[in-house]
Amino acid sequence: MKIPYSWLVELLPDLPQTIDNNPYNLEPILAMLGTGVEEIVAFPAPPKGVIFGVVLECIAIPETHLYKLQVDVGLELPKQVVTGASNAKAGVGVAVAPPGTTIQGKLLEERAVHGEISWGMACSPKELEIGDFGGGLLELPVSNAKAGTPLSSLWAADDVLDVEVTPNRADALSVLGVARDLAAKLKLELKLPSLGLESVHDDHFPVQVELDPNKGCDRFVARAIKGVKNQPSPAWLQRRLSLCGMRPISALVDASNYVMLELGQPSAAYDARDLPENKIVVRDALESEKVLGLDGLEYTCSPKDLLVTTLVNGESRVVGIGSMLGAKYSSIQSDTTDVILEVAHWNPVRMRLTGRRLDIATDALYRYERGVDPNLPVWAANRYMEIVLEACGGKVLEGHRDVGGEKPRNVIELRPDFVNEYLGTHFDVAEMKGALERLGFFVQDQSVNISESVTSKTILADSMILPIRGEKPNPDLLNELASLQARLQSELSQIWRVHAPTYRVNMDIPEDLTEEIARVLGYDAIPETLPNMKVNDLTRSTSQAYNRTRELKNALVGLGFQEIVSYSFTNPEEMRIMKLPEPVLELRNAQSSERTHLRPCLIGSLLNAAKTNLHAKNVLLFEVGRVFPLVDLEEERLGALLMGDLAAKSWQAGIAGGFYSFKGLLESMAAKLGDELKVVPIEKHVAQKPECLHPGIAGALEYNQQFVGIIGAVHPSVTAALELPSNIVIAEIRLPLPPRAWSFADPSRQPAAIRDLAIIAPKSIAYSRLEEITKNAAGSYLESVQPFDVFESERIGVGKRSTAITMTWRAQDRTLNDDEVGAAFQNVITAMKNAGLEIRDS
Amino acid sequence: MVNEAKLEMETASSLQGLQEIKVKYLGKKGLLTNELKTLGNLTPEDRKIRGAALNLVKTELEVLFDNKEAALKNAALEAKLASESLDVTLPGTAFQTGGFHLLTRIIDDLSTIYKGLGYQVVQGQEVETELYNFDALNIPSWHPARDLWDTFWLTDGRLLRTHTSPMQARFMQTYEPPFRIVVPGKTYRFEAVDATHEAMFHQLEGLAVGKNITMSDLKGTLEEMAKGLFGETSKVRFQPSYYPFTEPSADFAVYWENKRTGQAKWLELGGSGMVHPRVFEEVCKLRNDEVYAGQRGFAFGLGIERVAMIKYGVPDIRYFFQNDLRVLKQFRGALE
Repeated sequence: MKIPYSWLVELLPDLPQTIDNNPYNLEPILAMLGTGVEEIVAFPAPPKGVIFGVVLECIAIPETHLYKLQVDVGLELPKQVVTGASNAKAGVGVAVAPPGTTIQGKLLEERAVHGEISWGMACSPKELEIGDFGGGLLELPVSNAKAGTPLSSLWAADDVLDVEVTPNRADALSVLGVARDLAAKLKLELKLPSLGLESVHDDHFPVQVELDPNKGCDRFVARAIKGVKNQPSPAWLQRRLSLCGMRPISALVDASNYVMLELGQPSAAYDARDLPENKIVVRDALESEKVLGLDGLEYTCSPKDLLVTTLVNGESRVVGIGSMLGAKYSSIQSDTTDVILEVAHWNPVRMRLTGRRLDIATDALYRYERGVDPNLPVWAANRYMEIVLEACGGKVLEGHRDVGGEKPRNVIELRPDFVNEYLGTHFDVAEMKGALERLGFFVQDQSVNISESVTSKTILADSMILPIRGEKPNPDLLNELASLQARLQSELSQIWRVHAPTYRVNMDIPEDLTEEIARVLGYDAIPETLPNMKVNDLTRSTSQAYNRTRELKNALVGLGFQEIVSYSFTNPEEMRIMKLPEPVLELRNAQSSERTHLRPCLIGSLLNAAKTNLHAKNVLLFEVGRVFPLVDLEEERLGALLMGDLAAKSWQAGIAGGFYSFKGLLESMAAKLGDELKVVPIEKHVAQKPECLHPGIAGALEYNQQFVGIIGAVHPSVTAALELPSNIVIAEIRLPLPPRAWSFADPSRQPAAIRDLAIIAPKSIAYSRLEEITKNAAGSYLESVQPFDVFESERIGVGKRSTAITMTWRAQDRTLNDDEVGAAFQNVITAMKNAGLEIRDS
Repeated sequence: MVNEAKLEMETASSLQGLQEIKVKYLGKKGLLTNELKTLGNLTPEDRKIRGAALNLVKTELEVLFDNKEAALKNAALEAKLASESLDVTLPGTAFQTGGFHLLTRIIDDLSTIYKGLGYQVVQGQEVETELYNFDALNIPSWHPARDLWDTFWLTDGRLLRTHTSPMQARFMQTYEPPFRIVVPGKTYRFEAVDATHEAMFHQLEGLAVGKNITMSDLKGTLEEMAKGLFGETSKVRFQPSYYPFTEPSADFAVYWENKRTGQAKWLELGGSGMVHPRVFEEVCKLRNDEVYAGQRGFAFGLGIERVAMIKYGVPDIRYFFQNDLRVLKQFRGALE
């Protein structure tokens, strides 16, 4: 909401002396009221030298788009000014910049245009830098000033505060509302705007209004004026509209906007010619009823929308969609002489829904959907008539029609102590009452009958004191006690009935009033304390998932992984190129064709990050984030990627990347967390091999014996399609990881028995299978089994592989003897042979 | 012979040569040993005199040998060490250097502060329903306040959470009061992306519910956070604001003395307020009981990216999700 400083001062005459007449000093004050200032813009007066002139004659220059104007500029003879403005006409006041004035940085000279001398130029608001409109001349009423008057005396410089108004403060969408807040806060006198041409409801008022108050319009005020001359608004009015960012149109329209800015009440003015039967009917729209709006657009309404209509020859004609948008049909014209004014109160929900359905966004709707004071229409109508009468003449009809009538105030019961209990403050009760009253609340004290309760309290006090003292009580002391008790009692039982002003919507509960009191008395008065509470024990362990993820990240970072955070968005094409699952969750309102879906996995994000970092020789990344693989599944996952070497080659060899380095890092990660991670053949857990992985380098991850994810080299066709190097290994793991119970084991001090064995097996037999056979056969004293040599050669046969393993046996409490170990070793050999495998002689 | 032996030992150039000399004189068949063997042929008188002399020589030679051996060994070791020396100024093996994302560090800083204040850190879900994201938070569909949250909608009618606040209702639906939680996580807004606006960002939500909680408790809690995050000179300022799920509502600003620049200023950091009674009513409906009737609480929320941008001078919010290691790796070590 844009608010000119001078307008605020008009309603708060004492404001300048309170703030050193510096609008910037309002910034902290308005912020502490909850209506923060976004910016303060200084609007200059029109350029020096520009004067008010009256166009006496306007003649088109043939074969051009130009006009010759004869302008009375207060000199003996009129001056000729040439203009290209399409709105040039005789009989209006204009802004003339004579030769010698500087407009938009250019010094004007008397010069000939198409052979016609032009004495300077006539200016648009934009050229004068006093408004946004550059499509035509600034038009003023002829009577606004004497020709030759400096325009700056009609149009002073000003500072405009752009105030941010939250949705609960519809009342602050007006100069009056902001001024009222400031008055309450600064304890200033609020000078209300003019009450206008006051009138009373008249049952015989010529305009009939028909409505169902339960349908969304519960109040409708109509007034009328006849015989006006619609013309440009006077400079003071145009200036204020311009400062507030609205474009002046004509006095009949501008006055309505002005009242909206001043009081916060929108209104609609109709050309009475279009309402020949003087009848207004508020009704639901028909199915697919078309309305041509003031803005030239056609709107297709439905019975959910409320229309303002009239009757023409017995037929219904629409004059407005609610009060949010007038119809083109009945709109004010330049030759309108008789006006019917509508000022109504509408249901915010119904207005909002219609606005959204029809895609309407007007200043009026903005206010209606937030809630306008239902008791404002009469004032607004009277104010409109006053302004129009001044600007356009005419005759205002006595009285008005008011369907719906005044609405009552909302009453809230408030225990003043509640405010301090709730805020943790120590506000004085009288201060609180004053704050509410200055905001327009009416506070009615409903305290219980004090005298009765004091009497009983005094008696109670008496009986308590006597036994202690063991003597006759001191009457002074008793009196003091009684008064103390009385005060305590009155404060404890004090209850207010607070009548909220109707301009404050959303005032329903004590908490709402608490905020109002705090706003005026200052949020700064709220002290800093900490909650004194003992929490529900069941909530104490809810951090576990977060803590485990944090440990996981710690482990990965310690191993050299860099964490990344990626967008959750993707698109089907991207997933297709990466041979990843199709995304299943689609955005209805995507921002771009690249971000249409939610990612089904993390691998795509990691590959994108790898691509971003092609400048780095080797990249080791991880991400922990949500993925959306199924319609009803949102899962946190860990993704990790290694591209290139683990340690870059330099003058030294470096450390190679690849599958086993990467797998080793993940094993270390698990070991750091006290857990166990194993890679098993992918077929064990995944029916269909992930297409994005190299078919020969893909495994399933088991974490503490549970399947949690996949690991492998990225498929060469994927790296090729993404123009990435081929040596990328990747893993994706479901979180949270299954935990493992901790237990203590005393390290054995007994010697170990070690035996080596080389097995020749087809390459299709995974090492994990050999390990499994060994573990099953080697007995309970087997401590570990490790491969130490793996090779293939023609010597041992095509398609075969030799794997040498070293087995360690150890007992906790004694030295194992050779027979025991020998037998276990033989069992392993037998088991291998039984599995059809060959033992290599050493 | 004695002088000859001494000379040979002193001039020996290798351990092997020295050993040979030792054998030559002191070995089983060595010259001195042989001399000692001839003692038996002498008279007892002469044997005594010559024996003493020979033993003296033997001892002398043995000491000489030991010294020479030590000297030669030492020389050999020095020669070996000299041959093994490395140019220690050449660079070492380039291991990977891991690091946390800056946003994780800030979330972690905040979580640590709040854990110290007795809060639990919980996480909600990113795909939410209108019920939890709006309705349960007293933001009905027709309310203009909905415009405050530009929403990404899914084709199935669900949405991407516009704030971490849905977890308020979800947590209360599951757990009974009193409790204290913070909820860090990703949030989404349908917004035009520029240097300070992103379609995706992170928030940290806080919620404390108990019978006697006051707004001053909220302010004190935020002050603890400010001091933990921005140093002991930090403080908190409240300004009235509006959120449908809090009443009264307050935006909070934090006073920060920037140690790098020496400047101090107020930073608008987030929104907060006392939990609106209507939120408790909605929760009662969700739970189908009255456990939350008459409860009080406070809630707050702040943007993680904003903290990161302010504190570490990151000029553009888009840097956070571009995953350029040259940016990410700048935030290492002890962050101030």
